[in-house]
Amino acid sequence: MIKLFTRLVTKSLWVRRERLLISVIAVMLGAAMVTSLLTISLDIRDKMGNELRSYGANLVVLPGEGEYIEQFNSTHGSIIGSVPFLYFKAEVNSKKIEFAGADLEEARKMNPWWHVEGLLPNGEEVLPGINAANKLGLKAGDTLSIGEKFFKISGILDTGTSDDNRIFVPMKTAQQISGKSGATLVQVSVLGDIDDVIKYLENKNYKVKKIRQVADSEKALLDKTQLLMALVAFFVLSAASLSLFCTMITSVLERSREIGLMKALGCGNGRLAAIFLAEAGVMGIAGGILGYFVGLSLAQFIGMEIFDMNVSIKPEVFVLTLLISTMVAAISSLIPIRRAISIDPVVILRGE
Amino acid sequence: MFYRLLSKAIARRKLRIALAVLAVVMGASIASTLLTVSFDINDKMGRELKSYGANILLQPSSEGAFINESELYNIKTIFWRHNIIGYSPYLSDTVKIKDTEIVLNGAYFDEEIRIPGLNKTFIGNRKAQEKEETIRTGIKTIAPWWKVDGEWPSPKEALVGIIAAENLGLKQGDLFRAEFGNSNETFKISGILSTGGDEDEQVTVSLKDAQILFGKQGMVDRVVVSALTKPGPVEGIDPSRLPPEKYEIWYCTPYISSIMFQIEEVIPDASARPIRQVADNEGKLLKKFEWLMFLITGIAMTTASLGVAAAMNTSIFERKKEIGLMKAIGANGNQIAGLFFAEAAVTGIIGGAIGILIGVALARMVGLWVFGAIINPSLFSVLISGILSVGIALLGSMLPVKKAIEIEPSVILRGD
Repeated sequence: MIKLFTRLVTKSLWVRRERLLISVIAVMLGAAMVTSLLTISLDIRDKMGNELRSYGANLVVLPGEGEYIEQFNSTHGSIIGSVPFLYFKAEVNSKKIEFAGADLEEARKMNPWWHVEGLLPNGEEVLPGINAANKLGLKAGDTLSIGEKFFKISGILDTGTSDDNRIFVPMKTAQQISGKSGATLVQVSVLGDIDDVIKYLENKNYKVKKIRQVADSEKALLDKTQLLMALVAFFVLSAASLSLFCTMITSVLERSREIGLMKALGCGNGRLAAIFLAEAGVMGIAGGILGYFVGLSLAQFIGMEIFDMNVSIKPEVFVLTLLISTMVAAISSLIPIRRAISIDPVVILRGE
Repeated sequence: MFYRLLSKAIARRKLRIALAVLAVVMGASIASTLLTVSFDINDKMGRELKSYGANILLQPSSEGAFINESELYNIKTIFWRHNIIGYSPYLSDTVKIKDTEIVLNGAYFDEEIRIPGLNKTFIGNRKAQEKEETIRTGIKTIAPWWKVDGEWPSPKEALVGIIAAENLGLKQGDLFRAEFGNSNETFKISGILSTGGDEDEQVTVSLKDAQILFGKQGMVDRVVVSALTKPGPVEGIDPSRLPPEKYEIWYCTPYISSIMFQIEEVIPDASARPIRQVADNEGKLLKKFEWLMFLITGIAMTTASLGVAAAMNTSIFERKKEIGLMKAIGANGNQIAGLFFAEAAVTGIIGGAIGILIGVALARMVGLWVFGAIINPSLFSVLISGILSVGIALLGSMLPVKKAIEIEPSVILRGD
């Protein structure tokens, strides 16, 4: 009995292989769209978040006690970068100017919008912000004296923010001029749950400030992007299901003669439905698996093209895609099957 | 005869045709939804990115000079005036509070500005006529992340940064005296400000109060402007060097460089600079968003097209017998092809029209839901979706029609 059933299903699939191909392709395309969009929309928060990190630090860590942070080491997984800064004031040409010492390579990496006209300072060099330079009447190549020492200006920093009022120096130089060690604050770049990182750092006895301009905007923006992608994924999902539905209905409808013949030969309604459902199941699984891989490569392509990064492969997407394609294939066959089994074989077999 | 055949063919096979139409509807609605959203994503996401604050900084062109506050309304009279979301002037200096040196800023919080009527002709004979209007602008508009514990200040009131408040031992409701040279002023603290930025260590009052304290009535020392821009060249543009046509295109595109240029035109004693943290990232991100949406739209449209093609294929394939009969009674290949193509075109037009309507509604929904603003359909996206649905329906019929024409009537009519 089981053998006959399998033979019936495989035979019917084989005989109609051309028609079948169309159905499987329809399932595959639907599954591919669903896979690529699900993969991207599940990953968009991460990828877009990474992009938004180019706005620079979103947390500032201040010393909890005392005035300086001697050593900042944090091992929280969400912290993707940290740059200690030493701020101090010193007189230049009898004007009080704020200085900032830091590893300037790192600082520029964290704040990629920093626009340096010239070079980053090395050794006995400094990098004034454009407003500070204008105020002191300095340009790249000039020398300025701080205390008794002379420093060469390696370049001018243009950011459009209040950093333009400061003079940036390498950390070592800053510690020499100010006679201080450690940092007055640490800029931290967090990708992920920022509140969790704040709690973590506060437990380590630091004072933590959220840079609201960056942190708040980031959250709002990521929420919207995610919602947008989820909506698009949902549309595409329902559209893909409906077009699959069309294909399945047609494929059952056009076989009313065959159904009539089977009934005339004594096939029961239950068995008839089982045969068609098994067929739909096979198509759904085959199309779903094929579609998953097509969709994954599409998602990968988008990830590389836009974010220069692979999207992360999530097993739940595979399960979901397979489930959706099989279910839609089966459900969309049910309706025409119900119609088909109500067919009177005499009417159908008589001809058109 | 042809029309009768066509309408009969459609009427008799209602369910099948409905299925084909449904496939086209799905395809067209996806295409028009995603296209509409894609074309508008730059504007909508651009507005979202405005929450990062101003992207243009105006400073006096010469060191030690000031910008006239009364000229600032001109920012809203430039060619791209509708792209100016808001602006806020600042006047800052160091004051002494409780013998501690601290920076005091004057700024607009939510100021009402009167923009006089506009009657101007811009480059290329573009006329602009606008009635007088009033706008509200200031920090509440351009720096929405400012968090105030307490109230925004009225005249003679001040916001004290959270770190400054701690250092000075001040809290909401306290009075403090700010000394500047020989003048001084007493302010009441209306709220504590936390931004995570420099403002945390400063005191902020209304622009007017600061001007009185510093003795600089009507003057400001910088203005930040928030403008919607199109990603494009930020620097390296010398307008005077561009050939006239290129100059006009550049001037009439909302690049940050052209908006800065237009602001400098109307406020000659100011020079504009991009606030790079915001301006540079904005362009980069907008490009990515646009790319992302277009790639997704492309994928969805390809798939939708293939779905439509499959539906058309099925609809012809199952009518082999009919075609055989038509050929047997003397129809030639062209007549049969004509009939099928007409059918496909009808399917495409009906499905496309319904699909586009659904798509426009969906795009509106997406706009309202995600961005809180309606996304209006562009003619372009409607046109593309329309052409696409009819085109794909025809294209999808091509192969099966070719096959149908080659059918040998005797083979088909003999039975299966």
